[in-house]
Amino acid sequence: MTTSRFPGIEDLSDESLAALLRAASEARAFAEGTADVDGNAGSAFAQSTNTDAGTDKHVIRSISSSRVAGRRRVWPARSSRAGSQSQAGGDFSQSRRPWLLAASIALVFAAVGGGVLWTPEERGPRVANRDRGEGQLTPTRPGETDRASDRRADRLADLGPQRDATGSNAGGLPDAFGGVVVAVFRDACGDTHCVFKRENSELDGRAAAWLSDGELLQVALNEQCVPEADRVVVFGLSGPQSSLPQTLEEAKSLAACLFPTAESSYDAPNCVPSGVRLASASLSLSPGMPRR
Amino acid sequence: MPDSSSSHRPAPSPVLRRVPTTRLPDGRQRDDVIAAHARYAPGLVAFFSKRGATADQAEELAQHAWSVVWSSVNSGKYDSTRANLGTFLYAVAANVWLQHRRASGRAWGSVRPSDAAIAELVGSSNVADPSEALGIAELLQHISSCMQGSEPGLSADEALILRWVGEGLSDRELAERLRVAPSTAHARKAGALARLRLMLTRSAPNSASAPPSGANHQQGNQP
Repeated sequence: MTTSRFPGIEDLSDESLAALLRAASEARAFAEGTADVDGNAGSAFAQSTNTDAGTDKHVIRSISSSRVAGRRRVWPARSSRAGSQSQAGGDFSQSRRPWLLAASIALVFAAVGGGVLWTPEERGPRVANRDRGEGQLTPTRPGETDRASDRRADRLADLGPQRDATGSNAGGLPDAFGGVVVAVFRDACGDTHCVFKRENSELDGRAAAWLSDGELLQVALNEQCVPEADRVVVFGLSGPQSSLPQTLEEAKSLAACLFPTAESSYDAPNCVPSGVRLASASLSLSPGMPRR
Repeated sequence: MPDSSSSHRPAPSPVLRRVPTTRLPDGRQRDDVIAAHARYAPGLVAFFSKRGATADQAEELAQHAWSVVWSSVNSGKYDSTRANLGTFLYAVAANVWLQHRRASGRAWGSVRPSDAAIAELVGSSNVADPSEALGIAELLQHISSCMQGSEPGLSADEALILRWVGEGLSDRELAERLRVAPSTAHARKAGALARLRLMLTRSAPNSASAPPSGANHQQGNQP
């Protein structure tokens, strides 16, 4: 005959179970003599939290599949914004009303000003070769709108090395754009074993930051140097060549910042230089997650 | 050559930090409780004070809790293999506080969630019963070892989430730490709690009356 080890546990709600977790935390702090006088449990586990092996995984999950330009956008920003909204919910009318009024006035002025300044000649699509008059913007290719031209310029900006190779710089674009893929292989203990980088020119002309997750991982796995690695994380970066890692050592330091170990702290938003576009993908290579 | 194993005894006593593997002789165990009193007495008074007791009440309740612990140790009702003395003392103190609340007929609404959860488990039975307190202490210690990630049935992720829930983090704060959406954090918390519940309700043969057979979590506490 089998009986439950702790009768009554199965009937507890999630809230009660969470309260029991709190009690266990308090009891642990009490037993260790770390409970403070104010009644807080003393967070007996707080010190081990930052160095926990699971932290890396969470960090990587957060980075994975997020594409950003310049500074990385992270959930906390969104959460804190939502939190401030909920906190301000009670005194919304008092704290937000002046700002709303000012914003509305600004919108009205902008609309009126835009209507005055926007001449009828500029309202239609500016089709190339429609009017070769003096002072008119002319796209670089016939039949192409300005917006399409801008998009192409953006693409060219990401494909810097190829554009340099052809020698065309007529658009006045900065010619020092490039891209690099940095892959990090790490074992179950968190030790980094292999970091390498690939330039845009080695990626069939594709901009590194615009590769899909699968393509990023394919680049890394084609070069896998540590078969027993537990996890691979790949970063694709595009931007000014001067902001990208030039040497393997720089790539390693950037990877250490983006994919911190248990000893280093998480500071990924500050790792990405301004103007650099970042894409990332990660993959677990072990059949199952390591358990303690 | 002096016999260090018998004459020299390290301080503080091992029972304060670790659960001893075997029952100590009565004399030594009493010494350990006396040493534990010196260590835990201020914290025990603070335990009741921060729950709203006056200074006099806190002193009185602390004395009551100590008397329960003392009688439990002397009568052999305290089994050091099931929970360490500090956790047992915490559970006794929680039960004494609940008994005090019931006796004074005060509303349960102001009781801490952690105390309310213990009260829910104890139910209508005698809250001052040392065996109940020992069961609660064993449960808390088991949960604590789960939060530390030393249980094989829990992943490191789940243990980490349980630890943060134990710190009292809300779903939104969990989401910030995990860098996921609040709904995702809520789902992961629910999953970790479900796994914990499953581990705690895992069947153990004839474990109702006997100490937990495996006491696997106790192994980690051995010196």
